[in-house]
Amino acid sequence: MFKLMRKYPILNYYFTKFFAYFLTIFGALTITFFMFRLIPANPIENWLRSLEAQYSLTIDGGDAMVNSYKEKFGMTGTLWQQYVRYMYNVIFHFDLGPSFINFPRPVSELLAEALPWTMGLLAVSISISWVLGLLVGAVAAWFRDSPVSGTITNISIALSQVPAYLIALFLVLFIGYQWKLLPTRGAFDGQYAIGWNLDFIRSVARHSILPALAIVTVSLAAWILSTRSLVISNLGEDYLLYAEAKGLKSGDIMTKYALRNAMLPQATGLALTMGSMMSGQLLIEHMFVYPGLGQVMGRAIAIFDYNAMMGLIILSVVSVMTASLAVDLLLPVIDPRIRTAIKA
Amino acid sequence: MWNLMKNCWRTSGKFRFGAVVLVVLVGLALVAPVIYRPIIGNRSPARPGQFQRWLPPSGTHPMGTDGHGRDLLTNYLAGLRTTLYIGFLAGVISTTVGVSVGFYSGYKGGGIDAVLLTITNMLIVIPSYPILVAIAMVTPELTVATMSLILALFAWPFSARMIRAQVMTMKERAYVELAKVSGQGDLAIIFTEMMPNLTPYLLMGFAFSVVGAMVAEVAIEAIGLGPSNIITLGLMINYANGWGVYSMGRFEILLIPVAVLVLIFAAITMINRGMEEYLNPRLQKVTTEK
Repeated sequence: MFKLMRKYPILNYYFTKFFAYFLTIFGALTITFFMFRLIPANPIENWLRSLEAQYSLTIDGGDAMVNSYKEKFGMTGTLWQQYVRYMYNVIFHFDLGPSFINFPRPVSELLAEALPWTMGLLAVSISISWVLGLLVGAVAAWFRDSPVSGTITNISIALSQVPAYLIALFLVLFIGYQWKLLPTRGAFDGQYAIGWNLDFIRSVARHSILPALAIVTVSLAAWILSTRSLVISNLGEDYLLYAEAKGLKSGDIMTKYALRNAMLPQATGLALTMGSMMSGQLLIEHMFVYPGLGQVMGRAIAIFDYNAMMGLIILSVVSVMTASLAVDLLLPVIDPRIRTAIKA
Repeated sequence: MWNLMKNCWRTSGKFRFGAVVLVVLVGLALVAPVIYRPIIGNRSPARPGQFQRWLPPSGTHPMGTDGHGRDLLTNYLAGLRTTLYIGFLAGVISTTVGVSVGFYSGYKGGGIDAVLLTITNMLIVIPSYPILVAIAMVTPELTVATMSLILALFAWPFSARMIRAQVMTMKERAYVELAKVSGQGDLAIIFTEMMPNLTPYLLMGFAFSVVGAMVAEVAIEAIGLGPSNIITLGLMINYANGWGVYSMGRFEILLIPVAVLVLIFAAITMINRGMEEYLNPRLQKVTTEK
């Protein structure tokens, strides 16, 4: 095998990437597992308390009861045994264990229910801001001496590091509360039947505008800036001079030459952003009471639900790493320059 | 460093804007006790029930009082002070750790570098927010220092990775080779040859960590999962939401902390960008000629 890898450097490249993929995921999960277990919290106690509050009764947390729950949640034995058992279940059975927040339903079911909402909201807002960012960024680079372009750039710089939840607060205040244009809580109105009917879909769309707008505002700014600097750094290249000398229209030069060369890094960026969307906007969902992963996280943290929190983090780590692995594997196929670099 | 600042100031309007805003806000935070002493005397701004609740703005309370009977102006200033301080402290801690790891990793190379880089990458992919909230929740008597330490825990890998990349390229430069050949020790090379050239990157990494720590801090406080004994701008946002200031018509109670935070983030980003443009003239629109 090693002989083969020495003969074909590309195999070596793929092997390294796969190895790093599994190693990083495994390491990240291990670190998270121990970090959670070493935090001195008592989820079972918390959970019994929350049951008491919920049903207004007194639960005598006798040893037998606590122990039986400990067993169900995989909290018996030494830390090391717990770790081995947990990782074994996750890796070989894809079993994330039962949740505390919705006992006895498994964590994987809870996540699967919340996932479509998060993915719907984020996939749409990320795509919108990516396309808009690319276009506006390219135009801002092309007309870089005009005052309008300067203003756009400066506003984008100012907004690019502002967290989306601060923008969301403004939107809720003015659009949601003051002018009462759009709803600010939940993902749909309760009065419509859930399913593929027009009323329900319209209600879902209306509820998603404000959270999406908050996300788009900030990420649009970042895409505009990165596209602008990518295109500007292409502007000095010889092939653009050549294109101009050939007498091509400047609009064609901008879209087919300058922007096109900025596409590759931006497509990579899009894949990575999509990967991190699971954890990127948990707070936005929390603020808008959106039934996605952010809700699950808020409830899980409140009573320290190990299993649900680990489940969320696993989901996020795996999707980030998978997106970046996909990019790494595809890049040599798409970009001949990288192929050459690997061979060297 | 002074020269770098002067050059950035001269070349970049963004840098000037950011620097002015930041200096004003930091100045306000520094003189805050002088401003609020006449209003609350020697009491802590966080103590509830000092005045009547919900007083409108007046001469004695320029911004009125809140639902806990505290003077609002005092609380904004105290919040600004703590938020900036936590950001600064967390930035210092994470930059120190990040720079040490980044330098060690990039300079040594080989096996050590591979191990450190792997650990750094593992930490970077873990979404820090749930873990930060969890740690903040169970830490008893959370002080400003422990809060900063917790925030720095997940912030350092980013500066480590950035510094490592810079060190890797700088290691190959002729003047570093020359220093090596002339028999200088590793530490001497790092501190006398490489550090001065990396100053701008250190500053940018520092600014990045400060922003990151403040964003996380506000995110934890704003949804009410942080400590309630330290007044920060995030906690003010949480209180304002909890009191339902919208329905009382007192929008400014929510808008002021949000606007101040947006200003801080914008200012730091502008400073960073200004520095980047000075260092990398290709980002300036004037230097690239078609």
